[in-house]
Amino acid sequence: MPRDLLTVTLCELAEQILAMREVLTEPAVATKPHARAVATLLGRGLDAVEGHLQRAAIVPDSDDPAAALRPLDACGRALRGLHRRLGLLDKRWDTAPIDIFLRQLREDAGGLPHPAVVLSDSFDALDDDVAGALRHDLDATGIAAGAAWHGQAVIAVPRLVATNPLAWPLLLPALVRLRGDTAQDPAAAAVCLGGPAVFAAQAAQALIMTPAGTPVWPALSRLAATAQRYAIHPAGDQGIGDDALAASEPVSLFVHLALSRDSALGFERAPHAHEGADAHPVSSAGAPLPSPSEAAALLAKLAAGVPINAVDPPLPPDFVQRLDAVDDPAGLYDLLEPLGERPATLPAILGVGWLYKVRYSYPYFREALRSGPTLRAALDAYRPHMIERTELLLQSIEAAHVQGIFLRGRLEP
Amino acid sequence: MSILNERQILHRLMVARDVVITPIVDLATQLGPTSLDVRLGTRFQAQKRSALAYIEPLQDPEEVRREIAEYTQDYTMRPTEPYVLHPGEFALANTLEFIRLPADLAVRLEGRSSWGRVGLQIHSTAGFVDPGFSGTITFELSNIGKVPIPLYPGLRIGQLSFYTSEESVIPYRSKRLTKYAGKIAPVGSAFYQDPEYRYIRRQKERDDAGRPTL
Repeated sequence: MPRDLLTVTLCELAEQILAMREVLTEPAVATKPHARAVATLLGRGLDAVEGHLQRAAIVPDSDDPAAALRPLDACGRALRGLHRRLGLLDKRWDTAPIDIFLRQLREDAGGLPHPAVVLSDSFDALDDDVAGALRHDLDATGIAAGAAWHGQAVIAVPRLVATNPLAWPLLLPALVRLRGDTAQDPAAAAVCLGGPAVFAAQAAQALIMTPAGTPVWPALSRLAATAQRYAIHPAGDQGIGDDALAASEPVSLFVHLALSRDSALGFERAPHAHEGADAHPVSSAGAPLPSPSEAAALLAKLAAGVPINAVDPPLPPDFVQRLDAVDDPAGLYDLLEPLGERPATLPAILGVGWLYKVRYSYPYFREALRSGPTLRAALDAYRPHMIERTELLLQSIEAAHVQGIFLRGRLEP
Repeated sequence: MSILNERQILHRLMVARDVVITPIVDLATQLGPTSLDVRLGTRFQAQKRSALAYIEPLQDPEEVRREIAEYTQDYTMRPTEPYVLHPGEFALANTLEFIRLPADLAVRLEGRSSWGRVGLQIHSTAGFVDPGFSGTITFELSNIGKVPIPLYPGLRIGQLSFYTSEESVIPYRSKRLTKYAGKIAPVGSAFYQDPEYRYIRRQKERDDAGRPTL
């Protein structure tokens, strides 16, 4: 089994564990005795998951690849069980950040519903159709629910997904369903909205949440093919250089990992008609991806610990001379006019966020595992990196959204 | 120490690029003769009432952190919804802008006169930002007027002036004790992390150890 499959899967599980611990150790939880009691219980559950990972995956007893993967399946199920009890914490959960994300998505792509976002204890909530499920339950009781269900768009989001901007592309298939657009393939439609990050988020989730007895590739292949085309598409006119290949790097990595995982668990790779050249054509109505050079500049910013809410304007070649020479207000304002930053789009922020995770977070975690004597030590070492990345991406999305509002307000008549 | 004018600010931002301020929504509106306006971000930390008599900083720091949480509440505001600061209220917020300063530049945060005229103060005591700072700047918002003030993210409520100095040997990020370096969301007071409390706590333990028990 490729070593990177185990590293990435462990890192994704580690991020779930750390995110849950962040919630459990919030000072607001500690202020209520009953919430504190629940947090203690859930904390013990996480200790058990960590102990299991330590014994079964970090120090495997056998060289059999499947033997290292199967225990991870148990961790996914255990985390689901713990997540189902997060609501017992009786704390205030903030949905505004994810709501700002959805508002920005509407600005980037247009023509999208604006659903109410509610948080769910179920890790599978994103597969839910809240209105449909409610109507189904009522129908099952024999009480006819009637037909007045339109305009009540509600998306239930797992609580931990709401804390992680890199997981927010998971909402997009539900948004596509709410839009009711049947003309376009749902996978292609979701990728058009969120870019290749949609596939990366789905694949990362599949690696840790799919039971060991089920292959992941059949569910991912269509999305993978679309994301691959979409990631390379913007470079089509210029040829495919190193930068363009970097933009599709998360897609390539997760395709490789999904296939490796299925192969290690003994699944035959079933051919799919839509793989490769048959991928569903990508609509041109999607949100624009950054150019390869913009993506490289944003990645460099994120790596330097700077938010990626905006793309720097190119400086006019004679800027320094003009700045030195300017001696009146009108001249200075002329000089300022082209210097405005352009807000980055969500596919750009999320795509670069995933590229950063591939280039920096996974290697950081691998190094933490190598140098720490235990999984707990590795988690402690990795935690600040994960928190900083999350904060930078949250700031990027919120600042880009606010900037966009003022920019449109200034430019529109 | 001298104050930068608008051309020097522009040079540091756009040419030398050793000052990071992002986003800059509208330079023409934000840039003044010796200042750059900054905007309100989306994150707020409000104070609420609590049954606690007071916070004893000599307790275990985790307990102090918990007690502080009893009277604070974090909010993220949507840009079209205001955070309403009522008369007499205090809240923390952050700049929309992420700011990174080089080792030879300090910044002073000041309010803007339009807001001062309705009673809004944007910092109560800590308006000076050290060279080497990185993060968003925290506003200490107070409404000392008589009417509630609706505050929308993105409003220009503050301004920065820039001061050059000889390059600092211990820029903010490298200081031995920094409680707020690199923070993006508003962070509540970490006064209890000052080492002085640790020294007082130790002394108190020594004093208590010698006291006769009943």
